[in-house]
Amino acid sequence: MNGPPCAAAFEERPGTHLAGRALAAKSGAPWRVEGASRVLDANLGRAIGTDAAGNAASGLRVVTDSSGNVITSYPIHFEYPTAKAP
Amino acid sequence: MTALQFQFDGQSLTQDLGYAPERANPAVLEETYFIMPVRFCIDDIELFEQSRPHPDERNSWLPLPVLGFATHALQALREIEPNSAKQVSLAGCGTLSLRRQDDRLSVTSSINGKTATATFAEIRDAFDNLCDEVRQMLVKHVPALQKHSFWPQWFGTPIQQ
Repeated sequence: MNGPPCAAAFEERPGTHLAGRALAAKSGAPWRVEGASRVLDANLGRAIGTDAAGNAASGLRVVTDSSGNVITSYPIHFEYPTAKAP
Repeated sequence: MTALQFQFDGQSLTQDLGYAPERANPAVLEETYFIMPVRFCIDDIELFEQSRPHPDERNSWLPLPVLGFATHALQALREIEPNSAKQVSLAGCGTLSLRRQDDRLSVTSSINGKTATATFAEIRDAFDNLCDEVRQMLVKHVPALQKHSFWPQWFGTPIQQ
């Protein structure tokens, strides 16, 4: 399998504790369904690494398939999703 | 005017072909295969422009898994209702935020914070074309992928027997 197409990097090992915290942070919130992928963006509240631009990233994106198998995970600059148009 | 295009990357494709894409998990294909540079520009606003690798050398081409990006964005455009918003993931790096107001669509890129607006139809047509170009590239270079069980969901055409 190829790696994610980015230069993002974790400051700590992207182990299950990070994914677990991401899940806990977004408990009850909907995942985005994108084709065969399920995408969760979670704010972990502190820098966990750098995003592809080299900026400190406090968000974690977890991508799974429809069965819940983790496909990839990487730090992102977290942005709160917009639920409606202005 | 909207410009949405990808650059064919034979080296990336050769690497992918070594991992039997026709048997791969569809979510893996969408997220990590066929990574090629993509440019998205609306009225001279480069939505994927980055300052790397050098601040003086602007790069408007963002490496993305083109199968996932094209099909996910088109899915979002088909689902977004008037006066609502949706997000599309940019694998490995960020998000495109879509806001539809009547017949206009605003697109904000988390790559550089820029926002551009065009008619909804113009942007939908651009993604329709991108999706078709990706389909043609895969038909030509990865014909076995047409037998993948998820092919109809990506491109709406029957599985080739």
